[in-house]
Amino acid sequence: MKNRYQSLIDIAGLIIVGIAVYLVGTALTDTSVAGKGMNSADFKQRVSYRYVIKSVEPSAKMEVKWGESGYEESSANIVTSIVVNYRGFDTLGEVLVLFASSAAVSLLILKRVPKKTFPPTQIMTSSVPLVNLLVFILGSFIILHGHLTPGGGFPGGAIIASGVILMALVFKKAFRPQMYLMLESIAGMGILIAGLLGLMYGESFLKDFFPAGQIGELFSSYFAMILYTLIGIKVAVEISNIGFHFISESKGEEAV
Amino acid sequence: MTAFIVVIGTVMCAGGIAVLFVRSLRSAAVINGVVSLLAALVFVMMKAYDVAITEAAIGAFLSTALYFFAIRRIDEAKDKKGAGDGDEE
Amino acid sequence: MNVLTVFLITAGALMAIGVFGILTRSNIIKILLSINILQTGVNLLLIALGYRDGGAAPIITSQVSSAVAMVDPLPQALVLTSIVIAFGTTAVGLVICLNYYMTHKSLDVHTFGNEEREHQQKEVVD
Repeated sequence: MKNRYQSLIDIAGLIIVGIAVYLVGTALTDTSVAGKGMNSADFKQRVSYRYVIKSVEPSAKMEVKWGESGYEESSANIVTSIVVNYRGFDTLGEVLVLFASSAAVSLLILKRVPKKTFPPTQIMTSSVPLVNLLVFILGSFIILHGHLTPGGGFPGGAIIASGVILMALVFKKAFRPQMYLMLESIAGMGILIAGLLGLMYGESFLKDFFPAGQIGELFSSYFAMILYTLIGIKVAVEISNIGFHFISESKGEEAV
Repeated sequence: MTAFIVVIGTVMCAGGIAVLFVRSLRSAAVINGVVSLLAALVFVMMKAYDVAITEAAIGAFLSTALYFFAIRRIDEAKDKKGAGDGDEE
Repeated sequence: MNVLTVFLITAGALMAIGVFGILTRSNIIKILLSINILQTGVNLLLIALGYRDGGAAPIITSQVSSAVAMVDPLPQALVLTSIVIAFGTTAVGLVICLNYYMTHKSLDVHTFGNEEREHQQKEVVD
């Protein structure tokens, strides 16, 4: 039975959204107010310019080039250097949010009453191990080369988790959750220990305390590689834990 | 280049409106995945490559898979075998 | 109409469609999908604000040093966080939808306070 007032609700929603779009649009594109509209700040005066040239000198003339060393941060991917090094505390908060969502799914999921399911077909059981080989290699490559190529710990962990979920869909009794979750705890503690080592040997929490390497080499930025590996493991385990709880048939409490 | 982006933007908005008005829940989840994938394409055109990989891996694949798992469990709890196309309600 | 304006209009339209969906739909899975579309629109808007015409990607290679005009890398780092958090909230939201279905036997939002009328209402489409 459709709601009787559905068309009235639609029109009211349309009017509200139209008024909001008009107000926000005229406020953001008004050039007589200070700011000259969106996206108008000079790029050399933004904070991100300091991240690009890797220095806070006001008259920096140096140009960060491939193959040099001695800068305060030695990863070639600038977004990685922001996520891991300059804004590492935000990354810690994001890892915490993912952990909270994984814990919430584990606590709230109810028991599933499985109906008749089909066994996995021959195509799946013979092709999934081959495909997963490529998936795990791709995920590890994206995690380990986070400071040279686009990617990093988060998409690499998600790709590995999708491979693990695929295996769990086909081979139902392949994983033991206990050992797997211990891996997540070890990775999480590793991130905190890396931060505390930065406090001990550097000047602040999560500071890069390794000597500067050569930009462009694989082993140039040890801190980014270690931190992204730990984050990748943690994200992979958490996302596959969420997937397990959605497809498993024996966990959870009874529905009231 | 501008015409290409206008076409992609129109398809994304049409997909966004289609999510609200289709009847079957599984179709809505698939169209959400398509909008996410087109957003990953737009991220590549804006020269944001890390964000494009992350959006494609997490938004387009894992989010859609989670919706399918949840719709499957709803179908099972409704005393109906989960082999039909989508949720009529 | 340059490229940046088209990006901004697309992002704004997706946000408006997402807000419209949250306001008017009755099926909770549709509401969750509208939240997802709103988050996609917000991410597009944030990266469009850091775009620069003719800019290069913010990666230092052997042909690109830091003196080349690059796009803004700071919004990209923030949007990375936002995408992962959107996935986390989608997962928790789906678990809440499942529990709502188990207790109320319906996916309609309007049966939440009207349990005595549940036997009259069937499930809705929108």
